[in-house]
Amino acid sequence: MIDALLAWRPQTWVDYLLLYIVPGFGMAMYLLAKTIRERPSEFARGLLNVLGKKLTLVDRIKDGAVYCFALACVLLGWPGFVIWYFMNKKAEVARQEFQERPEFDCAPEYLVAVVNPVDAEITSYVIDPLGKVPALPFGHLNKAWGNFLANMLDEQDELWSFYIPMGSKVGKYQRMCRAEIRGYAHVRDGKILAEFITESD
Amino acid sequence: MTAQVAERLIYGGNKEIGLFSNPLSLYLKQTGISFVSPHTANWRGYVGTWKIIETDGVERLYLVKLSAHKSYEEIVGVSDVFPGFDKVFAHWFTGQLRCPQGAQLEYRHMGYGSIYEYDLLMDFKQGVLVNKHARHNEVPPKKEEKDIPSFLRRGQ
Repeated sequence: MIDALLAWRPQTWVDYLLLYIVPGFGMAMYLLAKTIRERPSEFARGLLNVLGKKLTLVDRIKDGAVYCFALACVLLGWPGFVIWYFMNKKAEVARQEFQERPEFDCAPEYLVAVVNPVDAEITSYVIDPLGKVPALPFGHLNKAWGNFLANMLDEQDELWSFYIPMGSKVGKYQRMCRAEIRGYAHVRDGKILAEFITESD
Repeated sequence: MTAQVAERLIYGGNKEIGLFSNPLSLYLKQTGISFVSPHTANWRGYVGTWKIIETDGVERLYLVKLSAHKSYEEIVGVSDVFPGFDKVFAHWFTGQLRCPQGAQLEYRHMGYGSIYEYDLLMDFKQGVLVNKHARHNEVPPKKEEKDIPSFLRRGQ
């Protein structure tokens, strides 16, 4: 029988059609099995019965018609479903990458110049006649500055100053900034890994 | 989103006025501090009282009081968030403060969205007041049914 099956060659358009719908049939069986596996449990069905949402004969006929139509769609249009599956997979990966992207205000176009951390600290002291700022680099933001510098361990790491003009689009969601933003960025191989904002609203 | 409780500002006397800006947010973001929301009208979890103090002709913005929810029950103040300081110079703040004034023209059930007769707008650069002006607001025109996309309209 296997030999006969292997020796078989399509000759008429019906043979070609049968050959075409074989992958669609496989796909339809897979989807049917999935639907059966995900059908409501006996408990859920019981609950629906109590709520007066028991399936009537008309509902079952309608469901049957929908399944038949869906089966015909899958059998004939399976290449479309395959393309849709891969496109959806690609879009899902892109969505995942976007979600994982860090939420920085700074972008490469806002970088100004490479700065030495010591020079950055020298110019960062805050003067307040009431003495309500610690005499440390970046004043009240000193601890945050320390944490920011602590992550710059690689030899390739660079400290860049950045400036974002008011009205620019910033961040992952491209919101408009209502005031200018200044700060420093931790850059490695042209990629921004962290930011330390010293001025913003 | 529920309308949010405003920050407080003391300026030109001892009277407190509402402040529709959050100058503390950058500090909290940079230091990784966050608070617990006690109710839906205070998602940020704190209310700060700010004061503009003039010294040698320069007006600076200071945080003078803080009521921040570390947990639902535990409230912390300025000296807990800034150890060793009873008030704090907001040197990180560059931007505009908005203080609503006069009668409420329209209530909006969202953030600081409500519209008042006037807005007192104050521009700061590194915590120093550099400019201020007032803006007169008008009641926004009411949206008619035709201005709303069809899928959002009430059922006919």
